Amino acid sequence: MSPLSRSSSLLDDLARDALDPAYTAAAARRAASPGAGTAGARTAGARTPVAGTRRGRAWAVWLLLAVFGVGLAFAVHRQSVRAPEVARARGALIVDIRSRTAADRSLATQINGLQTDTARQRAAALSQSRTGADLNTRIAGLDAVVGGTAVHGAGVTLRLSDAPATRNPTAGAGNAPDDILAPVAGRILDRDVADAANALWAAGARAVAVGGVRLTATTAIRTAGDTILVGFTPLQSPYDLVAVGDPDRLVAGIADSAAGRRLAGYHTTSGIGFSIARGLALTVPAATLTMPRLARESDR
Amino acid sequence: MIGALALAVGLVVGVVLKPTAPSWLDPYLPIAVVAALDAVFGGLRAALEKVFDDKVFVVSFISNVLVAALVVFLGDKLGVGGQLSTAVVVVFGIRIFANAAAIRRHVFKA
Repeated sequence: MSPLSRSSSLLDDLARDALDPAYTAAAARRAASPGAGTAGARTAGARTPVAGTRRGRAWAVWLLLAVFGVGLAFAVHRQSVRAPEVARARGALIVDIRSRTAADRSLATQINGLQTDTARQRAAALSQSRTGADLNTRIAGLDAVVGGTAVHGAGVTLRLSDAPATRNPTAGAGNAPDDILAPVAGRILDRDVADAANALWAAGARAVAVGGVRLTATTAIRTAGDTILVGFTPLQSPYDLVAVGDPDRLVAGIADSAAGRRLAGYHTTSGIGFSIARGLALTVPAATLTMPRLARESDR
Repeated sequence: MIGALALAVGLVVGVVLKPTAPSWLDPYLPIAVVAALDAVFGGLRAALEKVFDDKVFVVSFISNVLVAALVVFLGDKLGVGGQLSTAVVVVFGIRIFANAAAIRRHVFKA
């Protein structure tokens, strides 16, 4: 007989030993010595100690079955209680996120308003002297480049969006979060947004904003987990890049750029959303600038 | 059978009393219940095949529960907790199915 036919697979062993071999062995032992088994216990009075042990063991069996019943009911109860708790916690987190984001937005609007106010008062104060007026002109010119003031005018809106149904269906449903980081074709990366923004700059945009966040010289576009962060603002697909400049030049520039060609290729192969729309009266909001670090008292 | 009655009593007690167990038991509870379920099914099949032995049942019940809990505990400490508990559940699941099929054959003669 070849070794293969004698060896059995793990599954065969499992299925075959499902009836614990100890049962058959015990039954064989009982059959081999008939006086010490069930048949003997009932008839021979001299077997009372064994019968007593048997009764004790029977009670153990019933006790264990009762304990098993309690454990089963308990485990089922615990499981049924846990799922709604998880859902409740998640719901509370979502409410928290929404309210904090709204508070964040209102604070940002407040900052913008105060910045505009400060700029106006600064201009008024500076215009009182000649050196001040020169400074005013320099500031106005730098502001437009740096992003301190909102810019209005004609331009384009470039929209990038994830391909539909690229979201990992099991991610976020209570499964391991590692699934979210698995590369999925058709998802816009921070690199794509950054390349598109750079292409807009190269095509002659005067000001660019992504998702309502003005791009300055120090704005970073990066990924945190599943989300793209522009500055410190998390954004979701679709990503709108608004650029103010000559619309025709911008559209042509994007189409010619390496980034534009690559994104158009992804649009064909992976189904990401990639579209440009011209606009006549676009607004690129001002950036929230950091505090100046160097100040020199002016001579009046 | 008295055994079925004992089980039913246990279930009722568990549902009515709603006992609480310390929370560190939580990860081991489902595995322990599955291990106990395997022992119960094995005992039921042995009873139907007329080879039931109480000592074997008690020992197999307790050792199943303890070994399953130990394997899960060890797996947690080693960092393969999820995989080991999956393996334990798979093994017990196969045995439960095999025993249930044998019980079905005995009960329905089919």
